[in-house]
Amino acid sequence: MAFLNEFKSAGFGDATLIRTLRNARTFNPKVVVAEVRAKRDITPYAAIEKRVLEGNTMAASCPITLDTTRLKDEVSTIYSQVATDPDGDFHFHRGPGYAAEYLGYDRSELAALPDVSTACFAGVGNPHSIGPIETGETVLDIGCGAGMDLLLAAKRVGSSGHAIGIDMTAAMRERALGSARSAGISHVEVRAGDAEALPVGDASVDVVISNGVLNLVPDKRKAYSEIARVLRPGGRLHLADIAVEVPLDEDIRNDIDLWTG
Amino acid sequence: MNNREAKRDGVKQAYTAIAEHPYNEPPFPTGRGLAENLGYPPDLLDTLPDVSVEAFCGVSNVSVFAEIPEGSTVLDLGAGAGLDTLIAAKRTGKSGKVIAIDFSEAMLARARQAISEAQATNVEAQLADAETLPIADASVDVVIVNGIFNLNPYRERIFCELGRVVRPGGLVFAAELILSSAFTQEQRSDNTNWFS
Amino acid sequence: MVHLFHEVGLTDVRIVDRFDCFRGTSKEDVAAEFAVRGVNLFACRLGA
Repeated sequence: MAFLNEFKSAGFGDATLIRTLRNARTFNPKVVVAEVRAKRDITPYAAIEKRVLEGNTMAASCPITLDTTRLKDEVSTIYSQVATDPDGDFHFHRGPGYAAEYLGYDRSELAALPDVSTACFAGVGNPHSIGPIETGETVLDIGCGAGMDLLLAAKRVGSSGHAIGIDMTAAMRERALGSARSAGISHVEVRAGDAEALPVGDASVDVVISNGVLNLVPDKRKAYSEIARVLRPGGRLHLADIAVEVPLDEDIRNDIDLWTG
Repeated sequence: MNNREAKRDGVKQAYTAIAEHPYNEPPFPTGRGLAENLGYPPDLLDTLPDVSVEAFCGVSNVSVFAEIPEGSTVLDLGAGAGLDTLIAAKRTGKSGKVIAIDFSEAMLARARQAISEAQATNVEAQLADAETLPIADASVDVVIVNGIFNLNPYRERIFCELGRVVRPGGLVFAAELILSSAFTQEQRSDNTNWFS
Repeated sequence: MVHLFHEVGLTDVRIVDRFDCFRGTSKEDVAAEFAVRGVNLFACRLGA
């Protein structure tokens, strides 16, 4: 039933029809009332979000020649202020309107994608405007979610290419696959996995894309190392993520030679 | 997007008209009669403020059949004049709370009045669209929705928001009108027929 | 952060765009104060 599937696609894997009734509300006998009970999945993604909410690390790595501890602490503090709120009340932009207006995505390209892939989009940048993706290439989307960026990439590589999405969450993988099916795109594959251990062979990818996901990964060195491993020599990374542009202290600025040294 | 916004405005107008003049000829059955037909117990309805009951526009008796343990944080999405809100408030008790959300000022005004009359201290009412909820992630235990999906041109986003605000393992109880068979082409293009 | 990329074999690292993804959210002020934004970053695998 379509109504149940709408819940399942949104992270309510356990959605059941309690009953249908004749409707007392309209005079149209073809319209009945459906009563649904839907239970929210308990997923690893929820655990990650909880860690972010509790103000966990976004610590960007820094040149070893600087006071990295101090800088890391500053960055962590800043990020936790963004990720949490004393009132526990925040929400980020989502969806195709946001993607077009804030991140420069092409509205008509988004309109051509299935709603289920665009409605929950919550990226922070636009991997597709970083550089070209050519026909026939293999693209990997790390943290593909419901598949918006993945499908855009699949369209760019065409049927002679290959688009692989990785996500930790079963519900997200299902949405991404479902979206690919609705869009009639068959050269898309979605695999379970996480950024620290990509289920992808060495030097097998032309372009890695990712949007708003790597800031949640605890071991960033491992994540970047994996990206380097799966990319072919000369392969490209088109990454969109949150960054803190920390204003530099006097003494840090004085160490600027060490940055370039 | 123009069509979607036009539909949203049309819906808001119709529900506002019901809120403001519930005894005028509404486009569909409303009020006490409808509530009884839908299975709200009459003696329960007797305990609720008229200001909620007379403008009731739900499609089923959601707050009656939903599982609402005491102490739950409940979201009534599309709360209208607050009938389900007040029933949920009683069921969750003082240790719980209910957040009533609606996009119609007129309906929300009724709900607020009813909340005050019923002295329901565990309820807050907020004006918002269902696709952008002023609610933190994973903070709701139970959502009750009494027939709003068909009315919202951004319906897919509502499911997304529900996924965001309901805590892992939390529950949604939703009632909605669905087609038991396909409509004719003619009915599909009629703008006043919201179920196409 | 650049050195981390170099260590793992990624080069030509550059930020090519910035986005005010927090504008209009409840985090807008905090994000503005600390210059937290979405960024587009390009890097290339060594060895071409």
